[in-house]
Amino acid sequence: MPIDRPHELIELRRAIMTMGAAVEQRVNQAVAALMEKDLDAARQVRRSDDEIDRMEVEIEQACLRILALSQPVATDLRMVLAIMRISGVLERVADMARSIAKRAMDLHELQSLDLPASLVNMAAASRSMFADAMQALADREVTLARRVRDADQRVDDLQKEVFAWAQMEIPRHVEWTAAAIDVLSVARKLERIADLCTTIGEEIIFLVEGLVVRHT
Amino acid sequence: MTQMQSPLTADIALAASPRRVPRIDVSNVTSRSLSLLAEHRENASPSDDAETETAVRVRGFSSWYGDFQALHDITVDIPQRQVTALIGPSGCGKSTFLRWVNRMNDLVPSARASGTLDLHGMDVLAGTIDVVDLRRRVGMVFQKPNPFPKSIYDNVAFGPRLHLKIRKPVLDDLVERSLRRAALWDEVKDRLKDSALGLSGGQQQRLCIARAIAAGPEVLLMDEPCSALDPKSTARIEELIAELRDRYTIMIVTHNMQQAARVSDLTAFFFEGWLVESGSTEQIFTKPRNSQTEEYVSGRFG
Repeated sequence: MPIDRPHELIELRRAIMTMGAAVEQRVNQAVAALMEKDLDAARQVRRSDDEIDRMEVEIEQACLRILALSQPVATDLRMVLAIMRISGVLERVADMARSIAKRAMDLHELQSLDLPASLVNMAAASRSMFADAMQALADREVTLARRVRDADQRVDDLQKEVFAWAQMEIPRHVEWTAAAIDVLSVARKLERIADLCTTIGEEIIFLVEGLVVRHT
Repeated sequence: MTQMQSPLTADIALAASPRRVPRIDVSNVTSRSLSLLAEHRENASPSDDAETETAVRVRGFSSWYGDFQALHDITVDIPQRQVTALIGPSGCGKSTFLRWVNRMNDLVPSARASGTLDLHGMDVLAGTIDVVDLRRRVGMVFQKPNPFPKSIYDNVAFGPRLHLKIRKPVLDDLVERSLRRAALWDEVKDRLKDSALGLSGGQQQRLCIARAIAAGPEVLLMDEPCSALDPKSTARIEELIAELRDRYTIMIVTHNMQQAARVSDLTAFFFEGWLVESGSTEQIFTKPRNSQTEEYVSGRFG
């Protein structure tokens, strides 16, 4: 088929938003598994990531096709590059969600401890950052993208609190060790999700303003 | 076997509707994203176009100008109602090949050919065919727009008057339809009696396309149709080609690879009289199988 660039760019945006929706669903389910001990949600996330992987490959193929056949420039070109990178980021977020769900199931089985508040706050913050990142992408909203980047610091700080909690609690309750390790692992995954949301924010800024803010 | 219906006699709905472009409203992401997701899961992946028939079948086709062999053993299927681009460096034989499809090379005394070149099963090379009718069925548009020194109306009416016995009201209708399909009607409808030579380059080229269409062809040959035009006219013609492919098999020779990438379904790469590689345009421009093809489309020579 000859290339119809406006149509294919719209379809590409639709595809990335659809992938974002699928990943957001998994993030929400993973957090629910953790905080509300929703085992059904955990199992749903644990089920294969085929759908997400397939979307990532399809998006990459669509980007390749657009670049090869229609020679986009300026905003169109930046959008294709940004979407190509974001699809990889989304795939990694989905992976993190899957790991968190697994740890949530472990924690449920161990039944030993109450999750520290810092972890609960991390989960809420990461989930909200992801929702904001998707909103910013949908609307190509740079201000919101910048707010997502700014929210990362708080998640980093919370992770330090989780660490501090573990350092204090493990010696006092040695029987909690396995569970505490799960908690630390979840914290790391949530921090990674927040990082990845920051990356999405940076890609949105690149898309809209043409600025590379990645390492600033 | 589906019968080829001549566009002339088909019940024609003017192809005026703009391409449908789905709009996506992503103002409210949460609900919108969930419904996008639901939609994605419901839809089967879109299937490719139904099997396409071959319009021009080429097997072991070779041609010479005197002792010089211009084409070597070309074998390819040109699909019906799709756009096939012929690319390659100067002198590779792509224009020669194009001109055999409607026997324009008959005008060159030393030209001869061997092998198979069939148009919908008819042997184009046979001595017995009506070459004039062949050139009605296989229209041609040239690099430099060449309107006749007549009125706009008479340019378009020329072919039908020559080939068909039709009354004026029907002819008027045909001229209008052809000009509409060539995306020129709105610009000339109030001055059909004016000389075609007064039109701009881009308009003249669209007139030549209207003229070719009016004769009711099955195939349109275009030999670098945009080379003499400015970028805006070029874009216009490219849009037109995309619309025309619904009705006509189109073969376009172009030295502009980006144009080939934009407009065509199939691309055939010629080099020194050989067909090096042909395939879907997407495959040629993303994963060419032959290293020479790769070098050419990457702009390393030619």
